[in-house]
Amino acid sequence: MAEVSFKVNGAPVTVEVEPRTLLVEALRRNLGLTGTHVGCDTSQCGCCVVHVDGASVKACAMLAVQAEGAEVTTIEGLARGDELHPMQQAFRDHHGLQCGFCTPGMIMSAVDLLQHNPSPSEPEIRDWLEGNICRCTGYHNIVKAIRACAEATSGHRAAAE
Amino acid sequence: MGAPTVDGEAGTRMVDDDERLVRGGGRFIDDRAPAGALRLAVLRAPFAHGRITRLETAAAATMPGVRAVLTARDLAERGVAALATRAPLDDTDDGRFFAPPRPILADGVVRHVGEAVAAVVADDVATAADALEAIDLDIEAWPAVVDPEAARAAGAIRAEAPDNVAFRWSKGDADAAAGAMARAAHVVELTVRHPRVAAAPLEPRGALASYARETGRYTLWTPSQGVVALRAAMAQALAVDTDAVRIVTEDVGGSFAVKIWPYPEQVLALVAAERTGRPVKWVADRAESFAADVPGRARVDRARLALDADGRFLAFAVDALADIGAYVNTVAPAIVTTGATRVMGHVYRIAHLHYAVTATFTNGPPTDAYRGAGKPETVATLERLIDVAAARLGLDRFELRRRNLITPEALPYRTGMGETIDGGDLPALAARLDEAADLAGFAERRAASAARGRRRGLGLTFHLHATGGSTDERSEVRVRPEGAVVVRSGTQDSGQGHRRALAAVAAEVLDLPRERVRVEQGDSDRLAVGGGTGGSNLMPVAANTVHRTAHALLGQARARAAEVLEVASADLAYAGGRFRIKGTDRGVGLFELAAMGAARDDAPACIAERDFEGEHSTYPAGGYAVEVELDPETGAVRVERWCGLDDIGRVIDPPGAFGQLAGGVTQALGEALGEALVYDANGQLLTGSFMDYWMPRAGDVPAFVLDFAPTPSPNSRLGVKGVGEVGSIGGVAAVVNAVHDALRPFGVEHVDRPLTPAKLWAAIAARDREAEVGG
Repeated sequence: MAEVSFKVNGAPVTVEVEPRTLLVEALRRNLGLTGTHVGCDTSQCGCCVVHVDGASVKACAMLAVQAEGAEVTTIEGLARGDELHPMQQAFRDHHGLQCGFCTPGMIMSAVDLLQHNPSPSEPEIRDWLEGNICRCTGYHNIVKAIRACAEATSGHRAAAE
Repeated sequence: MGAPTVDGEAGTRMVDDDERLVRGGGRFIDDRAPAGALRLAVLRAPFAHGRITRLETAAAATMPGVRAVLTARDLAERGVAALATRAPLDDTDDGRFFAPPRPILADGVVRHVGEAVAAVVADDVATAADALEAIDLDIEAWPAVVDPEAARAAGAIRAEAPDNVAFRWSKGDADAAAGAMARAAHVVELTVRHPRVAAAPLEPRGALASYARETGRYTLWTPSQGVVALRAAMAQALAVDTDAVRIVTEDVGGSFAVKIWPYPEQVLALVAAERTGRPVKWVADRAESFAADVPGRARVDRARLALDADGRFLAFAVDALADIGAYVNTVAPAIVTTGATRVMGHVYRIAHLHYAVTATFTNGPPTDAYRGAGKPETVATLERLIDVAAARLGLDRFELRRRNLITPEALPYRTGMGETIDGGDLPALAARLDEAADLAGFAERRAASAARGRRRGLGLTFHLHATGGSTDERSEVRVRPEGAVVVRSGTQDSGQGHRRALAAVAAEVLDLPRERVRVEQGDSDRLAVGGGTGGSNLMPVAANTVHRTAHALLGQARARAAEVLEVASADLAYAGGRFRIKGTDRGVGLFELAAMGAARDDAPACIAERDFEGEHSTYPAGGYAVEVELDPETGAVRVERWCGLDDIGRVIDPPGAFGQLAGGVTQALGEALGEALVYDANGQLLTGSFMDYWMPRAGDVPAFVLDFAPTPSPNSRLGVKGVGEVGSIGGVAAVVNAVHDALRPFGVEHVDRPLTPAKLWAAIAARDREAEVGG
């Protein structure tokens, strides 16, 4: 067994895991953070996307021990109490989800997109989502939500400048 | 109009599903991890066909952390029954219907790759996986057949069915259709193949079972599309009373039919829980899902369309071959028969229809309904045939369709398959689609594509759904003193937004904000009756029943309010959750009545229950105009524009309805361009992961322009029609025809789905070679 210490959603945690344990398994089983989902075995679906040191990562493609000392953010760490993160709010406002299984990974991926590109075009959004599969929505409202969020947050930035 | 006022302000705002899910607050099957739960893993057949010559489990059973190993022998000793189809046919052509039940674990012979052979139960997933490796399994491999067109001539999968035929069935007037064909000016023939596809919801299947020895009760948490039917199936498999089984379905991460069916793994988890006295959990990985989920479609249609000299459709006949798989699944016999024929001819006036199907066994997992359930195949076959007819006869495809549409004057229109279409205005819909899709501008867009070296194609198709599913709906509406209304329904959400839609229906009747209404589904202990979700039945069946039930409740509450206020009920006005004596401000609130009722055990004022009554079927219809760009150098296709108009009757929840259509047409786009479960000649699955089984990504679909063209359904109190399957029924042919339109300059008439770049490139290259040889 290996002991791994890292921060999850701002709080320090230490978990004892077998060295082969994936980060997604440690989050779900050891820490009970079940908002991060597993939809495939081959790192295609993106249901398990979390942020590690600020960047989106498929938590099924990383060992828990590799997270030693890292700052991990999961879907549960995005909202500030009652207040949803603007991306969560946009998905909700634009019905950018149906069954909700791909949604956490989709949102975590979208948040990272806006970190890289605050005003992505529609093709840029679609391209970025290559690693996130949704079987329910046809992506239409997901793309709409991300655009709306980008517009709202760049509006905030413009107002602040 | 101000916001409705509500009494009983103690009522809390319900957190809606979308808010819960964007927070990561979903409760999916794998999220349930009770302390002490064991994990079950399944040993699956590595060959598509063969005899089990050795199954040695002692080494696995004695591994540390392994709690049980289950084999077919253990199940036989326990008296576990196999899974039988729920839809046997008594009207086959020759009176023969052969549907051997599907064993929970292979009964000495394996009949498809991925068939369950044994199960191990261990302390954790890794131990269970290691134990599977320790089982010694030998199989004497036999020849396998996975191509339905080769099945008749292949070796028998069942001795009882030497020709591999499970049943033959037909409907329609064969003689009249043949006569019309013989007399027609033109008869166009085409074989259209609808490959096996995977529903592939993002959440894999799973089950968590527990058994309480002291009460003899079994509980199974599992994603489903309705707990009541699943309870019956599990009780039957376990050979116990229905009351001894409780099924709970929480959040379902997509289904599209694949989670309706009772599966061997659910039974195995229950048996394992009984045997070990511990909760037992099984969750499929993606490879298992591709190998062992029930696929859809899998039909080959040899189709003929007869036309007169003016291009009027006279007869349409299909000789179908349905690949039923290795076993006959839950409702598979209904899908390839009734499901296939209900929409035959769909939006067109065709006097003579005939459909004959041969259901054939193959060495693949059993097939069954997938979103659309037999209808996407039938609609896509005719729409493809119409384009081929137009091309062969030199007619305009859109004009040919318009000429044959069922007009409002012809309504109610009785089809050759005995359906009575309830409404719609198809010519108006066609005219609006022409404008919305800017068909006039297509030539210019095609020229612009050509200038970039691309071939643009247009597909313009119409579709019709005949909604169905179970009518065993019992709705309950209950007013809770704390200020909430609770609606119970025997349907089951798997992402469609049932709770939002049914809450909207109840809230409208009760004149309350939707947030006051909580919809409960998914616990068989709370539902004596309930047919579950399928056939797009939420709106036609459940919404109408909830509507009636809410009205009944309001009537009961009114009588009670009159009693409390000591006036005649006619003197009461109702608004915003409150009965008021007309002309005064005296009154009593719905929630106050519930509180009085709760105190005095006076239920009628606050609970009503109704079963579905009325017409079961509605006929949503629509049209799609799809434009694609084909790169002839690579065979790659991009869908550039998608414009759709759908008549789904009155729209209760527009965002939800839009989402159903957009999701449905995207699945259709997948079927058209890339999705197919592919097996090699030995029956090995070649598309067992998301790397190999292509599904549309965000970059593969356009922004959709989808709108509603509602006409009310007279078959429905609310004027609603079904929606869930509409997009997947209509979308396939629109894309397929658009691609073939782009292929026309190359002289390619028809390519079987899926229209992958490799196939299209090869088709173009073959024609080029022919041209060279010919030249």
